[in-house]
Amino acid sequence: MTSALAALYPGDPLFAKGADLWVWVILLVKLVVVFAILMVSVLFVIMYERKVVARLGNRWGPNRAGPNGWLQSLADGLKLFFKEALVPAQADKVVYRLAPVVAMVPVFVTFAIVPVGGTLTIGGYTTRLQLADPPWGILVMLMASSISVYGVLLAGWASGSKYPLIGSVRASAQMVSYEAALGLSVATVVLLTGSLHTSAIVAAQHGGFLYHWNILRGFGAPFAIFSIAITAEMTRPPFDLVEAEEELAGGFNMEYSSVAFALFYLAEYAALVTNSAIIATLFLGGPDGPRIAGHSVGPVWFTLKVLILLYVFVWARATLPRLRYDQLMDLGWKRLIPGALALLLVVAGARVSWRYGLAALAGSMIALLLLARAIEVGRAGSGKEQGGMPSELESP
Amino acid sequence: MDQYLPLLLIFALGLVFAVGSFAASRMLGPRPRLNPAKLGPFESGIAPRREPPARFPVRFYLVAMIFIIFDIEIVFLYPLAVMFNQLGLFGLVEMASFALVVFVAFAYLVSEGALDWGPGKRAGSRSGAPVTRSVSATVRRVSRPGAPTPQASPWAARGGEAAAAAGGPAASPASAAPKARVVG
Amino acid sequence: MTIFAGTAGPGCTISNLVTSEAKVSGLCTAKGSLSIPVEYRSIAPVLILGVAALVLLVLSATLPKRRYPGLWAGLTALAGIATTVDGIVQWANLDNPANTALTVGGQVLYDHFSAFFAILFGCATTLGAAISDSYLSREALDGPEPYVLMLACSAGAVLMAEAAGLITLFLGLEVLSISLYTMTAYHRRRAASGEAGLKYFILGSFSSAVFIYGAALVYGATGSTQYFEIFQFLTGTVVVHDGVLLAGMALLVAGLGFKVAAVPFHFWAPDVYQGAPTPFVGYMAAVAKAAGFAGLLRALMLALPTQVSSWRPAIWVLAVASVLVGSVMALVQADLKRLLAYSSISQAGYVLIGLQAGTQAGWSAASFYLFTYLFMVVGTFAVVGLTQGRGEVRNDLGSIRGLGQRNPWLAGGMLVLLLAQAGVPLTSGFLGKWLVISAVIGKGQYELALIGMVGAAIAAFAYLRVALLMYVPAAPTPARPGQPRGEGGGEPAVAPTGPGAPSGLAEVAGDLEALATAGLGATATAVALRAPSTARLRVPRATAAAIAVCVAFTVFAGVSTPVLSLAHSIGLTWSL
Repeated sequence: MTSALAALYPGDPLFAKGADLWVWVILLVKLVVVFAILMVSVLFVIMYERKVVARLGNRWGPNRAGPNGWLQSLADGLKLFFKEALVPAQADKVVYRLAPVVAMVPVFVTFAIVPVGGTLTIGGYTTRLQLADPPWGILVMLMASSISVYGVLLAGWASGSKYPLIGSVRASAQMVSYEAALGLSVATVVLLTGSLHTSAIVAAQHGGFLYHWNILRGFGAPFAIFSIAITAEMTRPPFDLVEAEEELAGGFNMEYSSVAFALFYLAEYAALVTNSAIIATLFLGGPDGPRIAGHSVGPVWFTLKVLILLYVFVWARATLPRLRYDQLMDLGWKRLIPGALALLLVVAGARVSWRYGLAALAGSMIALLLLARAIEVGRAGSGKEQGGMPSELESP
Repeated sequence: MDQYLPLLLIFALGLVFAVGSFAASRMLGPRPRLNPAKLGPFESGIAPRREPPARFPVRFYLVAMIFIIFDIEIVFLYPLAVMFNQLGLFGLVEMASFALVVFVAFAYLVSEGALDWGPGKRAGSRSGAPVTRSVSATVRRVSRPGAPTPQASPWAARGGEAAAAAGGPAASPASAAPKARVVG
Repeated sequence: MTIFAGTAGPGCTISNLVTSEAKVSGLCTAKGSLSIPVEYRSIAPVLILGVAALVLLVLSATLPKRRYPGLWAGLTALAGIATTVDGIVQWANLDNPANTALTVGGQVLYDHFSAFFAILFGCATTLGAAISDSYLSREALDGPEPYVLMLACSAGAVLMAEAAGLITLFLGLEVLSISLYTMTAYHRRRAASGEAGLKYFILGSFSSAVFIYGAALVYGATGSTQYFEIFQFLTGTVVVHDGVLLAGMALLVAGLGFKVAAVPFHFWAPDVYQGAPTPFVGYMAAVAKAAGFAGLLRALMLALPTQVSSWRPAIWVLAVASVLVGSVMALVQADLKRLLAYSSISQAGYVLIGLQAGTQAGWSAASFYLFTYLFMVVGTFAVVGLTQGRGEVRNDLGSIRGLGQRNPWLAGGMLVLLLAQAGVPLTSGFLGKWLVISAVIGKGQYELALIGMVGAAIAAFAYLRVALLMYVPAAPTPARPGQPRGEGGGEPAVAPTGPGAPSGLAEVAGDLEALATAGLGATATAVALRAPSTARLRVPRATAAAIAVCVAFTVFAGVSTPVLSLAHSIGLTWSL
C-alpha cells in the first residue's frame, strides 16, 4: 500500500523530465502566485476576523475604508510602513530585527506544502497545484512550528524589557508543550496514510465526500487533538496567554513598532491561514469534494473548507474565555499528550487487526488510569518541599 | 532534489520580503526622533527601576527538558508510523514498548509534581512538618502593644519560630489582624 | 578459524552472516513483512532489569509519597536475583553450542561470556540494593530513584557485555554512565557528592565522546561496527595503511579505559569514590569496571584479535602503570575511600594484565577476576559505609580504628575482604591474581608477571594498614580497660586486645599504632589515629547478610573450584 502510494506520489511531476527553462518559469509563476495568495488572504483574514467578531458582538466592525470597510487591513498595513522604526535602547539590535523574520518565514514555507487541489497541465508540463511536494512533506509543518517558537522567544529576549520577556518565556513553554501533542496527532495521520507526502495524505482521503476523511477516522480524536494543539501553537484564543493584555500589556511583541510589528502581525495571520489549510489537508480531505457541473473544482472546495475553519477559529476567540496558565499546561501535558500517545497506539493496533486494536485500547486505558493516579499523587503534594528534601518524609 | 527547490525558493522569497519591508520602512518612514522615553522599556507608563529578570522559575526549564524527551519520542515514532504497514505486529510491539518506557517516566514526573503550575500547592507539607520556606519562616510579625498573640492568628498555624520572635505581652483579642513585615 | 554458527531466530539462520551479506545483519524479510528476528532468551537479563526499573517507577508514581522501608531495595534485589538465575539458565542453555547466536538484528551476542556477565551483574544488583537500603534510610535519602538508576545501570552493563557491535556497546555504556553520574551526585546534602557527580559527568561525557569517535574511526577503517564483521574484514584483508584503525583502537581503549579507571585515565576515580554515596561506590566499582572490561575484552579480543601486536603494547603500559600507580598511591592515602579508589585502580591493572595476554587463558582470567572482585569491593564498601557514621562525617582511616572492638564480626569480615584484595592465598583474590599472572607467564612475559607480583606486595601494605588499624583499640588510654565490647572471643583477629593485661595491652596497642601508620605523613598519621566512637556498631540485617555473602563467596571461590571452572569454560566466541 505504502510502496504503491510512494510510486504514485513521487513528488511533483513537474520535475519528471528535468528542469529546463519552462519548468523554471512555471515554478517562479507558482511561487509568486502562492506568495500573493498568502498575502492577500492575510489581509482578508484580518478583516474577516474583525467583521465576524464584531457581528458576534452585535457590532458592525470596521466599515469606513473601502467597500464596506474591507480595505481597512490594507490601510493599516500600509500605514505601518510610514511609522517611526524604534529600536529600544536596551534591545539586542541584531536579534531584535531578526526575530520577526524568524517568525514569518517558516509560515510561508509551510504554506508551500499545502496541496490546493488537482494538477494543472500547461503546454505539456503537468504540475500539482502545490508549490512543493518534498518526500518528508508534513514534517515541514512540524519544522516550521518548531522554528516559530524561536521567533517569539528571540523577540521577547531581545527587547530588553520585562513584559515581552515574560510573555515570550510563557509563550515558548506553551508552544513546546503543545508541539508534542501536535506531533503525535500528525503521527497518527501519517500512520493511517503510510506516507509523509501531503499529496498522498490528501489522495488517501479521496473519493466520497466526508466518508473517507481523516476527521472520521480514529473516532475524530486526532482531529480534535490537532485542532486544540494547533490553536495553542498559534497562541490563538483561548490560549493567548502570551498577549494577555491585562497582565503583560501585549506580550512578546510589545516593544515592536512600525514594519517589524507588521511582520509579526503578518506571521500571526499567515499562520492562521496556513494552519487552517493544513487542517483541511490532514483531516478534511483537502480539495476533495463533489464535482460541480462535471468539473473538478478542488480549489473551490479547499477554499470553502479553509473559510469554515477560519470561522471556527474566530468563533472560538469570540466565545471562549482565556485559560489560566496552569490550566493551559495541565491540558497540554496531562490530557492531550497522553491522550494522543494512547490514540496513536490504538490506531496502530487497529491497523494490525481488531484484536490488537482492542488490546492496545485496553493497555492504553490501564496506562491512562495509572496516569490519573499519578496526577492525583502529584496533586496531593509529595510531602516533600520544592527541593525534594526527604528529611520531611512522613513516617509510615 | 528538485522537490526541495520550491521550498528553498519560497524561503528566499520570504527573506527578501522581510528585508524589503525593512528597507521600505526606512525609506518611507520618518527619521526616528529619539528621546529617552521612547527608547526605554515600556512599563505601563512607569519609569523602570529594575533590569528585566535574568532568572526564571525552574519549571520553565523542566518543561523544556521534558519536551525534548517527547520530541525525541515523536522523532522515533515517525519512521515506525511511515513503515507501519510493512512492519505489522513487530512495529506495534516496538511502538508500544517504546511508548511505554517514555510513558512510565512521564507518570513518574507527574507524580513528583513536576508539571503542576498552580499556586501554593507545594508550599507546605501534607504532614504538617516544618518547612523552611513558609510565611512563618520568611515573614516576621512585629507585635504592637495590644496585638493578638500570634498563636491566635491563622497565619501562625505552624509558626513556632514566629511565635517566639513575636513574643509580646498578653493580647487583647479584639485587635486587628497582625501586621507583617518582610525580613531581608 | 572457527566459523561462528547458530540460529538467529525463527526462519533465519545466521549462516548468512558469515557470507558477504553480513551487512544486512539478520534483517530478515519473510512474507513481504519487515521484521528483525529477536532471540528473547538472549536479552532476557536486560529485559528483566529494565522492566524492574519501570515497575519501580510505576509504583513510585502511583503509591502515596511516603517511606516504604525496604520495598524498593527488596524489589531491586529480587530483580537482581532473577537476573542471576536467568544468567544461570542461559549458561545451561548455552551448553548446547547450537544455541550460541548473534541475534536481535545482529546486535547481541548470546554466548557464555554474556551469560557469565549477566550472572555477575545480577549479583552486583542484588548486593548493591542490599547494602544501599540501610545507608539511604540513615541519610534520609530513601526513595525509589536510586534503585531505578541502579537497575538501569545494570541493564546498561549487561547490554555492554552482550553487545555484538560498537554501537550497542556505546548504547549500554551511555545507559550505564548516565545512571552512575546521577547516583554519584545522589547525596544532595553533601557538597562532596554533588562535586563528585559533576566531575564524573563532565569527564565521563568526554570519555564517551572519545569512545564513539574511536568507534567511528574503526568503522572508517573496516567498514563496520559489528565485531564479527570487523573480525572478518581484518582476517581477510591486510591493512597496509592502518593509521585510522590504530587511532580508532587507541580511542576505544582510552574511552573504555576511563570507565575502568586504568591509569592515565584514572584521575576521576579518587574524587568520585570519595564523594559518591558509599554503597553506590561499591556497586559502581564493581559494575562499571566489569562492564567496561567486558566491552574492552569483546572489542579487542573478538573484533581486533588480528591487531593484537598493535594493542598489546598499549595495554601493557596501561596495566603496568595501573598496578604500580594504584598500589603506590594507595599507600599514602589518609582517606579510606580514596585508598580503596587507588586500590581499585590497581585491581584494574591486574585485569588489564589478563587482557593483554590476548589468549583464551587471559580472557578467562580477566572474567574470573572481575567476578571475584565484585564481591570483595561491594563488601568492603559496605563496611566503610557502616563505619563512616551518619552524614558520611568520617571517611578517613581513623574511622575504622577500633572496629575489632566495636564489632568483631564485621572486622573479621573486613579483614577477609582486605586480605583477598591483597591477594592472600585461600581467598578468591589470590586465585584471580594467580590466574592473570599465569596467563602472561604462558605468553612468556615474565617481566609483567614480576611487576604484577611487586605491585601486589606494595598494595598489600596498604590493605594491611587498614587491617591493623581495625585492631588498634579505639581508646588506648589506660583509664579505659581493654575489654572488647563485643563478645568476639572466638575471633582470631581479636587476639591482640583480648587476653592481655591492661598495661601490656597499651604497649601492644602502641606497637600496632606505629606499625599501622608507618610511612604516613604526620597529618595523615594524626587523621588515621583520630579516635572514633567506641560504641558498638550495629549492622542492619540486609547489609550484614550482604557482607556475609561477600565474605563467604570470597573464601569459597578461593578454596574451591566451581567458579574457576565456570570462568575457564568461557570460550572465546570466535577466534583466529
